[in-house]
Amino acid sequence: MSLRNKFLASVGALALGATAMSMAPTAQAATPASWSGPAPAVKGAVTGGTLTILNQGDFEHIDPARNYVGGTLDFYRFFIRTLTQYRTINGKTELVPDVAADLGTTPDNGKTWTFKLRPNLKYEDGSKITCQDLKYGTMRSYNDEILDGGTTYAEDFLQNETGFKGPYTDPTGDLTSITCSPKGDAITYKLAYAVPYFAYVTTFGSFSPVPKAKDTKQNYDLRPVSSGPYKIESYNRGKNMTLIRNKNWDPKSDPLRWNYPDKIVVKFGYEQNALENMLFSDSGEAKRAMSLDTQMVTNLAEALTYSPLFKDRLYAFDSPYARYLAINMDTVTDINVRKAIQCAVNLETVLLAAGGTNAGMYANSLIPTSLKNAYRNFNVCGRDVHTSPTGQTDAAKALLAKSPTAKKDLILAYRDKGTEPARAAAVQQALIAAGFKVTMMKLPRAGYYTRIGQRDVGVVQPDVIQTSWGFDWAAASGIVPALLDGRTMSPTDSHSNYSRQNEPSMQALFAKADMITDPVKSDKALGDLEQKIVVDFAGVVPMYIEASTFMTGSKLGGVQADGGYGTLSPLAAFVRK
Amino acid sequence: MLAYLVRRLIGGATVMVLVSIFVFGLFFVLPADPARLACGKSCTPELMAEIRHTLELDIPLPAQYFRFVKGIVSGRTYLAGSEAQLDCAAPCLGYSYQTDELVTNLLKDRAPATLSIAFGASILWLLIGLSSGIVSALRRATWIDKFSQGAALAGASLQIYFVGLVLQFILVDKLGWLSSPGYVSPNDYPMEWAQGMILPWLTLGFLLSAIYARLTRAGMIEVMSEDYIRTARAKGLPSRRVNFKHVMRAAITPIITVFGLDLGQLLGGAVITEYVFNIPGLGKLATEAVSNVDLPVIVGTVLVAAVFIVIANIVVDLVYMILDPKVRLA
Amino acid sequence: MSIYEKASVIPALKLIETAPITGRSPAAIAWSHLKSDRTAWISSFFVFIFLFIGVIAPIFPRILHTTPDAFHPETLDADLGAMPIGSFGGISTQHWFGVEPRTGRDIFLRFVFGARTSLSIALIATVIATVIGVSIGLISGFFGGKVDQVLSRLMEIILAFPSILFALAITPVLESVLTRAGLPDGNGVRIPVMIFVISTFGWPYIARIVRGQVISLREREFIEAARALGASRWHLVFREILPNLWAPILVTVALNIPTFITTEAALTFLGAGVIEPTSDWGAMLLASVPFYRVDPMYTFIPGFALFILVLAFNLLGDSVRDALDPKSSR
Repeated sequence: MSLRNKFLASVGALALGATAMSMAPTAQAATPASWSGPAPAVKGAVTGGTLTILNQGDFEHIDPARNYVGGTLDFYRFFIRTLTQYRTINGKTELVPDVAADLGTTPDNGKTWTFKLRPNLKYEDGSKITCQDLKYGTMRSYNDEILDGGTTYAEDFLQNETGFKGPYTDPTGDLTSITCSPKGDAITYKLAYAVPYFAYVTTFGSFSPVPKAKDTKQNYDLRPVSSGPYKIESYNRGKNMTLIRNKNWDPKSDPLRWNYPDKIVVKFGYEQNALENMLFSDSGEAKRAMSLDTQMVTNLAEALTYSPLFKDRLYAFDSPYARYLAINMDTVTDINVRKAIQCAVNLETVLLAAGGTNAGMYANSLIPTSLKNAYRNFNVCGRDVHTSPTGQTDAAKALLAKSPTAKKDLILAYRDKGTEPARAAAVQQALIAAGFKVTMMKLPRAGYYTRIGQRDVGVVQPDVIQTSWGFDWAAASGIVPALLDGRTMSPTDSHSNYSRQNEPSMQALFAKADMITDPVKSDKALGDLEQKIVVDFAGVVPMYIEASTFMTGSKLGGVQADGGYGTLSPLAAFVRK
Repeated sequence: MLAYLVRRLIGGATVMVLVSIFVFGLFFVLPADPARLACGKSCTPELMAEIRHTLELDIPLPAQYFRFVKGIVSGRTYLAGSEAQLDCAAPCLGYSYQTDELVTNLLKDRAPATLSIAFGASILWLLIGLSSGIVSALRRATWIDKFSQGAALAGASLQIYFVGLVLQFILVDKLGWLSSPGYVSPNDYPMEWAQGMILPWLTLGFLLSAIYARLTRAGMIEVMSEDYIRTARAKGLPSRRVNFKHVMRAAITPIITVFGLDLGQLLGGAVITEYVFNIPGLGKLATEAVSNVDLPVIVGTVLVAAVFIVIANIVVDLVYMILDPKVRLA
Repeated sequence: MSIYEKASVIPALKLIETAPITGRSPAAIAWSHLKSDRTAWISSFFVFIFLFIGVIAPIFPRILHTTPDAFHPETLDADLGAMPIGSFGGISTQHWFGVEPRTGRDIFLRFVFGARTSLSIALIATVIATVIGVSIGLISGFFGGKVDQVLSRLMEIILAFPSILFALAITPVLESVLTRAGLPDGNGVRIPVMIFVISTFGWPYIARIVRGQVISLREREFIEAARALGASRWHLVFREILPNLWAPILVTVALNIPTFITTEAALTFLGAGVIEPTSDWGAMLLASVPFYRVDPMYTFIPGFALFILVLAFNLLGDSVRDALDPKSSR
């Protein structure tokens, strides 16, 4: 049993301030009783002080229409409210209404959704948050050529008979699929097809209210209008951000946010080692600080060895990120070759390259074990990867022998970031041992996901792609269709279906799964579908589910792992004197 | 002399123009598609075409270059007349693909950190280098001389990343004498600013002092054996006066040359130093831009660095000329 | 490019004052000086050792029964961040220099093959830069006039570029050009690009010095005499001038080689170099940065080796220069 698991087992679940449990990503819908604010008080919390957050990088975007990064989605809840949101209390995460007053009702099995809205919500300047603002917030996300970076779920799911292109280029157009009730106390969405889990989709920023008069387009990213407990006092990109209290936020209207610190200061530009060391040694400003993007890497060994000393400020939990290899089914067409790749990959060396047993758990599937209805514990290459993760070189060679003329020259694409090069080297070595020839395609960080999705003729396509996926919401519907449904592809772009999976038999199953409105049945169907694609068609090689290990300063409390975003959340944090 | 200055300035300007053509060409002509780079995660062909239009990439190349230059001289407006019009004041180096900020602002933001490094390090390397060289020359063949020469040789042979890491390991991690290096504004926190800069200053100061030590020593020894120095000594002038007045003046020229060149290169972005010590300066901006393939920022930093180097060269030539009227460089 | 090779500028210029002495040829004199120089022997020895190791590198995998790219999961502690088991980074009889964290690859083998990579790239770039530099310096210095102006301007432009920054930025650009031209991705593209970049930024240093020498030489009496005798220009260049250049060329090259080596390491350190899993000293240094606190050996080995190699070349270069210059200022 790894040290981390021993540690977790001994500490157990706990008092806030020592959240060291395996936070399996999961978020059930909360019961109506708990939908009203204020959020329950955090034990031992103290009001006042300044919470410091130290990050390596700046937030990519804080404009809600442009944000798609887990850590930022978690953090920006300090000043952004969305239709629905995740709430984490005592280590348990649930879906709750945020600007909405309920989790939506549908009279037609998920094609139309109506949400009642909370009354009397105000922005930071005291003006009312209206239903029209919610609608406008979604409409502006259609101009994604200017407001790029966010999710496209609004455009994907909402009806758009008029071909609305976005208010900046189409100022007289209207998104007729969103309507407000005459009194402005409810909002209705008409979807292009049934989406039973729509209330999870509305946790994203394109379902956040934005007052049209204050919409500064690209510059909204520098100063969005706040509807949360804090507002932006200053934001110097790349350097720092300061949040101060928003007096117009009413705690009674908000079931998921707290506002213990007087001030929140975020500083960017720290370097991994320096920051890690500061947090580990609890020195200087790190005493009252935490990081959203820097985990223990070099210090991991020490932190875990002497863990009882740090148990109040050490956070180890599973993230929803599944790390896997997508096998390009367009270019690697021989099923034996694909299965040989699955057999050859040595998960042990991959996990070691990522940091050992504390970096994650071996995975046989892209679906995390916490999604009980969808997860299936099947064997990959005839063995249970959890107990026997090493590469099955002989099996791989045997499979390759079955297709002697098939192409065995593979291009392996990976991102130049963090542990990816080391992991890719591990994959390369394992494939070479099985008889493949592997050329490395090292790609820069920026535009990686765009590049590996390119299917244009004339663009060199990688055969094996190292990538990861953090589900957008805790259900198989947030994983399997995005990653494996051939219908999401365009002729020139695979989108997130990096495997370019498009087998007719599998597509038939996807079409059938679309019809299922019951979330449990949907999870089951998609779980079965994923198993078939992995085992029968060898479209992906699941490798491991990532675990995170963070440390905070000793004077902080209330920090917890967020089950919705898989991040370390500062939302309930407080600062002791 | 004025004529010379004008000639050098024109020469420098010509060099800058040629550098800019080269940089512009390479970065905007060669890569697969700047529009794709600026496009982002959820890219569609329509989106790319719109971005291409916004960035004015759909006009002929020479026209793009002229707009680029005009932007530097007098500012630039993107998407003029539309709702999303963007004004970019002179000198306009475009907008970052990554953060949509004005490149000029980014450069202004990051310059102070690089200047801080250059400022402290240059004082240190001059002090160390000159004093080491002088002492060496005056005490030739003694152990002091051998020691200084050895140190200079070591300094010339060591690498910034190695020394930086070793010093960090010893001074910050093991002994705890210093806190982690980093940059804070000297206006707000002068003490912390100095503390955070000590490691970069020490590292660069020691490593770069090597040449100055060697040059000073060699120059002084050479001059000291010249006839006119012997004459001065024979006439009874005190040793010290002889040393510092005559000798230094003659030996100073190559030192000035190298100092100017070093400073120019350093100001252009002490890339490795900033990377190793995590100082948010121009060099770090450049490496981040390279890993993000953020073309406008890359172009901006390269041009700024080139400007520093060209200016440093011109200044060095001028000083050279002032100090040594015999020299008239063609 | 490197800021500390400029020491060669001043002393090298003095060489030209040496008129050939009757009796022993200058080469013979220089050689006898060199032979009696103990430092030269020691530094040559070290240079030779490193080159030798790089050449015989393929023997070691046979001796150690593993390859530089093979992962050894059993040497790592999976529960403690995948760090090497044992002290000093896992040094043992099977792994002479220990193993890499996270991968378990043998550091000695990676070091030895890394020497092969780094040194071959650097030396090839040196040869190319020398050939180009000497040629252009010769042409520029000898023919003078417009040709000289154009070539000098070219040198100035290249020297105006912030070399490391630009090299870093231009590498992915050039790589994409070569890939589109059909060269296989990976090292097939990256190595030629590195060599190209290093030699492009290196040749002006050599050319400048050669040009200076040629300018002095061409006004000498023996050139005038040869010209009066009706010698063609090519004869003058190849038969009269070039043979007299070998001394400064040799010194310049010897003192520039370490620069090429360190530039290669620096570029690889900054991410522009060879790709996984090929080993390289700069890559080892880069990979060691996250672990320097817990596994300092991993940083120390390539860093110290690089230091010794550069030191050896510097000493050797100094010795060669001193041997060639009877008026050496020791």
